[in-house]
Amino acid sequence: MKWLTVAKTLTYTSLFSWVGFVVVELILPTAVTRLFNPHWFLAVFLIGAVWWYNLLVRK
Amino acid sequence: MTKLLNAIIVLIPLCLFAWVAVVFLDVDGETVVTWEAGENSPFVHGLRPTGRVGAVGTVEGDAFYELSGDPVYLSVTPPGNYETVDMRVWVDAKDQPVVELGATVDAEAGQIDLRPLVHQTLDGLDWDADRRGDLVHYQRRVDYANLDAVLDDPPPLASIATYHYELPEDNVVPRAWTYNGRTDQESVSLRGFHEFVTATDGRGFSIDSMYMDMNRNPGADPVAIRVYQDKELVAEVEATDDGVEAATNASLNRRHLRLDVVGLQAGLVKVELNAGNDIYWREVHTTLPKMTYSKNVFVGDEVGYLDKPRQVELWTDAQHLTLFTRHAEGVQTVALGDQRIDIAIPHEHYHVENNNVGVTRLTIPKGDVLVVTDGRVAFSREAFFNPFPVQLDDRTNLDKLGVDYIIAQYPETVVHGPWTVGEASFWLPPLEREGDAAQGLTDGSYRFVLSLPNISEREATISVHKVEMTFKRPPRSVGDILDRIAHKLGL
Repeated sequence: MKWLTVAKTLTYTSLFSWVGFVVVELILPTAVTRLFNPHWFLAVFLIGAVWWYNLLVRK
Repeated sequence: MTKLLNAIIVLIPLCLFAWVAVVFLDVDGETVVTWEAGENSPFVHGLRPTGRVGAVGTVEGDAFYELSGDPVYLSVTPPGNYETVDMRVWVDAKDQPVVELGATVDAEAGQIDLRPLVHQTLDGLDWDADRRGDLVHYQRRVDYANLDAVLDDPPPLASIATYHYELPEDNVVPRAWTYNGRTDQESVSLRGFHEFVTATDGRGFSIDSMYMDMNRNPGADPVAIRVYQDKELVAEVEATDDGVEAATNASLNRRHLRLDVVGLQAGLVKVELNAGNDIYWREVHTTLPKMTYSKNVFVGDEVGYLDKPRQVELWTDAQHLTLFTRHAEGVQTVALGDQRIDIAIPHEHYHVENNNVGVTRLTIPKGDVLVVTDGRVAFSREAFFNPFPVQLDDRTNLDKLGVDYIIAQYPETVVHGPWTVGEASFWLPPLEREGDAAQGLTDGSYRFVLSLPNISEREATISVHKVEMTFKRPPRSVGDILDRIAHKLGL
């Protein structure tokens, strides 16, 4: 039960971060991609979403 | 525990956002972008065209591309708005004596701002060298204490070679260049744009020309004569098209253009005969005795002017010439001093190295030849003069020409393992940015050019390992950043 909030935070944070970084990149090309690939946040979001779903199913 | 984890999860992207902001705002005004062969970079979009760039190779653990043609382009998206870029390029020039780096100023006009990168002739000289920043002076024997001494009391121009450097113009003109004479150029028809220099002791002079618009290509053919001194336009005259814009292959009449030039200082004068390839300059007269053309002359045919072709003689101090004709009628044997060159096939380029040093006569029995040279050209021995030092290029033979002094604007190169690192700096605002200007899209990438003169002719290659670019602009304070944000938001 205690991991549910962590999974939820991870899922939401990574999703909004991905959207944020992609928007910044679209407005200011190369501002983000010169430093790192923002799509890692999308991968983390998927992991978080699956984790969160599993915790909910087990509950 | 979970609170700590939640905090870390939220803090990571916040820190990344802060990092993105700090890097993007670039408070210190300096950003370094590095690209190595085989790497993908958000700023450097590789070398093009691919036909001149080989596959990635490796030497001593360093990846490189092998370049075999000229030019090779490098598109670079800047990491923001910067004023200058200092570029360092890691190359192995091998058998290619000169590598230059350029930046496109106007692609349509072919305007490239070229800078020296690696000059193996200069790097390999064992002469006495005196370097002040990027300016370097070499002398075969130590005749002068430094460059100032050379400029104060210069040796004969023919013994000086320059590279990306212009000697200060001397206002004292030898009397032989201006005294008692005129030039009457009537024995050749020059086709299209030409440029010549003459010298004056300060008195004005006149240019009289007779030309014909042969209407061989569709479109209007305006004509102008422009005169420059110290790079300033001092006189010009223009004429409109003859009224025939269709490709009729016929000339309506012989047309005359006259220009009286006054208000000159003693010194050199550059004259441009501005016209397209439909215009044939049949006669050019000046009231000054010297008249030499710059590098290239297009000796036209006489169709529609004379009944049969005529022999054209010109004098040149060029060491390398390229001859080319477009027409079957231009097939002939040309004489350069005692050398014979068979122009056997139209549209084929014939490259010739002059066996002689000094002024050599080139005889073209039937005319109709484009002559590209690395020297100057006159149409009479009396009119020939060369007021410029030797221009050092990839084919200059210093010993053959008797060059004893070189003045070059050439940043010092550094050797890193198998690589020679050359550097060049560019002022960015005047450079063209790729994109469709008609649609207002001009904020794309800069197009840099690696110039490898005559690399195909000598079947050479060079290797390029790495490019490092340091973009610079004045540092920004917090106030500057807030001002910019307010400006963007329209506050």
